[in-house]
Amino acid sequence: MTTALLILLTQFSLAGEIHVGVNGMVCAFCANGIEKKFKKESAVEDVKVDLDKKLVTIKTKKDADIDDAKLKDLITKSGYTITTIHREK
Amino acid sequence: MFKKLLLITLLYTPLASAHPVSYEDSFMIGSHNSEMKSENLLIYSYRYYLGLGLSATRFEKDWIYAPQVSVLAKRWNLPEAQANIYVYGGYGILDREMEESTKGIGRLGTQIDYETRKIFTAFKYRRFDTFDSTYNVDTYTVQAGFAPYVAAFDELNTWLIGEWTYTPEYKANGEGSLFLRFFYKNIYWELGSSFEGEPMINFMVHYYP
Repeated sequence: MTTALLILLTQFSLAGEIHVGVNGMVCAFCANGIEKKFKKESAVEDVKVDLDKKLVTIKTKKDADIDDAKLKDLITKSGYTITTIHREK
Repeated sequence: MFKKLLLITLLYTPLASAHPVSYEDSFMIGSHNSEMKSENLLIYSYRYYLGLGLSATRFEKDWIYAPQVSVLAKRWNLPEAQANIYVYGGYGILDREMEESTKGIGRLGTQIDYETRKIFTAFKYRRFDTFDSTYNVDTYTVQAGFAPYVAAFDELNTWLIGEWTYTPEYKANGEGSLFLRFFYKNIYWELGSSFEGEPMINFMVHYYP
């Protein structure tokens, strides 16, 4: 039981990846703002913008996360529209 | 003749196809330069839909200094495209070399653009008015371009852009130009020429503190 609990806690302490689908990202010069905005967040370790897949992939730091509301806020304040959110551990 | 030339150049101030507002909390510094004129902009985007800035425009030896408010009136974020409607304006000072005193001048403009990863189109309308009937001019600009290759987010982007500007009061047939547009991350620059052989050099930098 203790071992199972420890394993479970370990899973929650790993850094995660969040894949955010975004509409309107057709210009790298303009989408540069998304990368800048996310990199300012303390929970973010890295950000990758993929114009082909219309995805912003956020790698969070260990024991850190960004909730959906915050994700939507950051994308919207960058001038874009969020479509999907998918989280990976 | 000189007055007409001055007014033509006064009106032909296409700062490429730059969006008048950028992403929130960023600064945009841009400069458009040709033989007879230059336009320099510093805009702070308070929000992604609202920019505040200053402009300094030179036409030969005459200058216009004006603050500018830019508003993103409407945006459509689509899976494969983005379309925008911007409005902007300001009231400043016209400082002509030939006159001892300066004069107030207002300008109002709108920009409508549609772009995908491969094509770019824009229409711009601007009006300049000194409110004393001396300068009261409308100018229209149409731009269209394509990307010969689709670049990834962190690669050099290259575009070929054609532009036509029509200012009926001063040049009945309008004026065309072609330029290459490059951008890499937050830096954007253009090199080109009018159909009459006048060189054009433009650049823009986004800075996010």
